[in-house]
Amino acid sequence: MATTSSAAASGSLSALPPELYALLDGPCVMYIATRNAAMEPLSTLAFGLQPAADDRELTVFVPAVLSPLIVANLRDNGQMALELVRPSDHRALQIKGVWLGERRTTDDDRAFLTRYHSKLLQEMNLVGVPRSKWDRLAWWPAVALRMEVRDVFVQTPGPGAGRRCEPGAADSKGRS
Amino acid sequence: MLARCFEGVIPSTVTTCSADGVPNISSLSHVYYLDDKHVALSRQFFNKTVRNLMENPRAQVAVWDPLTFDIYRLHLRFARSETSGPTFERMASRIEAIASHTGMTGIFRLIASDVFEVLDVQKITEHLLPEIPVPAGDAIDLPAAHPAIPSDMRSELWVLHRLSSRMNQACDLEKLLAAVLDSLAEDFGFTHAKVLLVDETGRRLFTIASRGYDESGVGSEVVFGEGLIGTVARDRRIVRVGRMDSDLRYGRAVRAEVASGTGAANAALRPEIPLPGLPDGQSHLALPLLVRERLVGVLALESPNPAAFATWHEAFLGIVADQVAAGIERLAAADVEEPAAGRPAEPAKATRKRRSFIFYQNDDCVFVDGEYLIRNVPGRILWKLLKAHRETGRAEFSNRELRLDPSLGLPPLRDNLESRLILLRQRLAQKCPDVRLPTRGRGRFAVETDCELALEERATA
Repeated sequence: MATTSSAAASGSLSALPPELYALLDGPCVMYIATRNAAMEPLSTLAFGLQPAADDRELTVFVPAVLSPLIVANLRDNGQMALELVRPSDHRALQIKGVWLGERRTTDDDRAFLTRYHSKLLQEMNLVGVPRSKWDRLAWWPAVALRMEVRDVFVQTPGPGAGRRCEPGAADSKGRS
Repeated sequence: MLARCFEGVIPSTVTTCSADGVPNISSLSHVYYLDDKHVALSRQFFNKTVRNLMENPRAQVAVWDPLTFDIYRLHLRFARSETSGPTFERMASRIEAIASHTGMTGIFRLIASDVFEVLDVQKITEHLLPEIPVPAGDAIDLPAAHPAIPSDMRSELWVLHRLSSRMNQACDLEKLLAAVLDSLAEDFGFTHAKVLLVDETGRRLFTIASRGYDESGVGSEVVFGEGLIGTVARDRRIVRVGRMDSDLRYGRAVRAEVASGTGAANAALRPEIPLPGLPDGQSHLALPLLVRERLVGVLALESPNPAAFATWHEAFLGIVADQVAAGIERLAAADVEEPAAGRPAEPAKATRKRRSFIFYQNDDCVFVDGEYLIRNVPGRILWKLLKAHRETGRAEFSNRELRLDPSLGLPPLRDNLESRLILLRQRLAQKCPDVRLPTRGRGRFAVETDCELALEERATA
């Protein structure tokens, strides 16, 4: 992996307000954004996210079939961003940070993603996406990408979209 | 095929990159197809995407095909921002229609349409497993032409020819509107449609004809600027929405964010406006009916299917709308009285039923048996006819004498008397079928009653 250009301090997912912290558990439509050496942006679908215990790192899963270009960009410069959107109410957040590498996926990961897939099926059904369509998503095998969190942002459409969530501003975690 | 991907079934995203190499990704409310080489993104708020584009013009948009769920990556270069002109105004009308329905008129609005050059398009299918047979009732279907129409007769020109022939054969406005709505259903498969005309205030529309609804809605009113149809009337531009529930969810997300603040925008929030027509309407297409830039009405179509209306429907149904508008104008101009046919008026049948009509003078509103019937000009016309019929026994009337009666308040030019009589007939058919106004040739009609009339005037309700 190339060294990253950013020298920003580490951030934390705990800066998220509770209603957005809840999105980390899903179910959300999730995208990962990267860029190449020519500064050309590239995004693809991600599927499932696990915060580390200290909220300063996370693991995001990307369907293996969609991962090659993304991983190539991450190997080049390490810069990444994630967007999580809950389709039923458009509540959304963005996480920016740097790639820490890949890790081997496990049976626990597969079980986690199976549950995530099931929850997302129900969510997509709520917005009128037929189960038969969303069931076709090739979410496994997946690539597990580790990310250091640098910044978190409100992304729900509205006048507050793009607002950085400052550490300490959130009342409490919304997750049990 | 790509055009239908811009309807936003699954949120589209735009990815940019700052000058120092940090990517940014954001959901989009709308991606607009401009031509094979350009798209436009709607911008309702200043954001990081815009700042990044000022530093680095490269962007990538991801859109989903709502039918196949293929993903398309559009690799773009930012070209310019537009804050006026046809593209901006068209995008603004659609956003304002959603803003109106979600009570955010003036709050949720288009700041700019950002135009991009399309450098490359990648179709992504690797994320999809092979197709699974679709259970009955789980499919998203595009509307099909009527099965009775042979496939080689479904081409656009044939459809237009059939519609034009039907309209030309119509000898009055009621038949013309029936021809249009029948053709939309039979030739296009658009079974939910209505025509609204401008009323005498010039600031409201009233529904004069409809197809496909449990309640016809004839007589229902829409104020200019309110909701999707009112926005079309105010802006005189076509508005097409391919996935209404998704747009409303997006609008409600913005509303919730605004409502959580304490600023002036919060205070400006208004109640939501219910959608017209189908409770589960997904696709909407509303077209202004214009004659030499003058609005005569709106043709509104809807469908429970998402993405039922494609870009080409706007152009094609735009031609239909022009013909309808011209037809309305033609029949209004040709509304000349024919000599009485010599047929005696139907004698009023003996009846035991009694119908109680009340006319409220303050708002020219007529109730029948305690239920609202009609108001304004059609209300005044009905009251004049009923009084004359009861007091003198007259059963035949002419359009001309109505036009000459100053108490009715018809405008001297383009009075749309025929449309008001159609509305009156339809409201009577719904609410009081014992009273009818059948035509007696062009410019003449009768009053027929199968009941005793009890008439009362009151100053106010």
